[in-house]
Amino acid sequence: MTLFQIKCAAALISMSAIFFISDGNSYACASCGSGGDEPLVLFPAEALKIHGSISLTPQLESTGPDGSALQSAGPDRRITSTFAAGLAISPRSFLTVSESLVTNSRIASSEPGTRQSTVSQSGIGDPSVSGRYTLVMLQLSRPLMPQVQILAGYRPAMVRSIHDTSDANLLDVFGGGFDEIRIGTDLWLGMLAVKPGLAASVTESVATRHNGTLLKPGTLIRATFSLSGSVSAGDFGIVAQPVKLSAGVTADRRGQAAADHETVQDSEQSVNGAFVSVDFPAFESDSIKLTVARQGAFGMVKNAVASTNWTMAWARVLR
Amino acid sequence: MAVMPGIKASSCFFLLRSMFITAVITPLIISCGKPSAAERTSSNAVEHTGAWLTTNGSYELDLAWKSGPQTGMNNVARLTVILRGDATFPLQKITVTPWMTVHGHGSGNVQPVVENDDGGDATLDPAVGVYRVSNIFFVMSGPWDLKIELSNENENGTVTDSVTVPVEVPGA
Repeated sequence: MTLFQIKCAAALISMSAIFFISDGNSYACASCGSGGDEPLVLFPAEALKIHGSISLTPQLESTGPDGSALQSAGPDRRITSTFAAGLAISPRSFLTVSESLVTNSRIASSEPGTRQSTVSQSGIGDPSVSGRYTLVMLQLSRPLMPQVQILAGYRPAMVRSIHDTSDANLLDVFGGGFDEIRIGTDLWLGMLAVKPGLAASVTESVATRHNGTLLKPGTLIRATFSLSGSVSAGDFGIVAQPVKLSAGVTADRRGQAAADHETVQDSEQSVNGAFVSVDFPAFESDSIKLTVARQGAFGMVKNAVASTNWTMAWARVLR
Repeated sequence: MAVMPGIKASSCFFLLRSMFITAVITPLIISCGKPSAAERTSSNAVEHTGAWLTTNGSYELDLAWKSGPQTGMNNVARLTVILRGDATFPLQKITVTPWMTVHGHGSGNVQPVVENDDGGDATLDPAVGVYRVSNIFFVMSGPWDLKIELSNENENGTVTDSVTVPVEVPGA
């Protein structure tokens, strides 16, 4: 076991220990089962909220169809700053818009005896809009009745992707290259002390012509299982409001891609992830959320990217 | 008797927490380090390049690497075109397009450059054309295709060559 793994284990065991001292109170949460697909969600009492986050991905590791690690000439590191706003349009529904600023970096020279330098490029990423509608609300009298939400999202391909890059190291790639439409559902047992959540979504990409070929990525299915809870940090003299904790696992499966209407063999993608987040209340209407998410946490990573993301987010309720 | 429901509730709560530790934390701990060697093997095989006929059988092509194929460098290859049937020179257009089929992308606008490379040698067989293909960038290792398209006034043909770009071992 490496030192890094020991540090990770210590940190995660510490976090899990917090679960054991959870106060067991219920706090409304609209997306605890979603696994952080959306940067911002509104709680039932919130009408307008803004969000800003910075996410560091220190290493990106592509894999091939047999799960083997590929050597990439692309970015070594990525920093993503995300800005989002959420607006409640009814007691049961809200809309979220988000945009990101992406910085791709790569070590330019690592030859022995030479000074190491880093080259980077920054650009705006693809925007996204998403919404949720709560079909079944949580009820105090029926704690085993889950909150049921339906969700939908749209991400237009508006910025440079790998298909129109002009940089051999892909530093100018900030978008996905395909319009994406996502629908799904989110179940959450929010009245239990430790709240299980389960979400499933389907993302369909719109076929687009790139380099003379009509390409269509396969349909992406994402399943998320999460557990969340809270601890009264006021007991430790930190803040009066509870600290929210959430952790879970994700499974992404994408079907075969198509090129000029023909299926591309061995193009399926699969990757499993895991995440842990802690949400601290700060001041009266602000909160700080720290998340560690690992794509490729377990199982084989096929035709996908394994990475670890460290995210710090801030949110403020305006209304 | 009034105590019993409380005991059951706390037992369930403990069970849920224990399941959480097992199901979520354990894989996260395991995954914190580098990927296991069993899961992430590397390939060092380079597929042999050879000669092929275009789809319409008008041209025979042979691609020989002068440098590469490697990830993240300006790879250069020598393309030899031999006339078959009624095909004639000069070729009006030769394009070479790298494409990573399983990942569904190429090298974007970073496209190879094709130049005549006969060196002015008049003794060369007039039915043979030699070209230098440079600026071939592979953005990652793995299985790639090189789509080679030829055309002149009356003929056009396509060949797809499979190339496995190896993982370079530092210092090897």
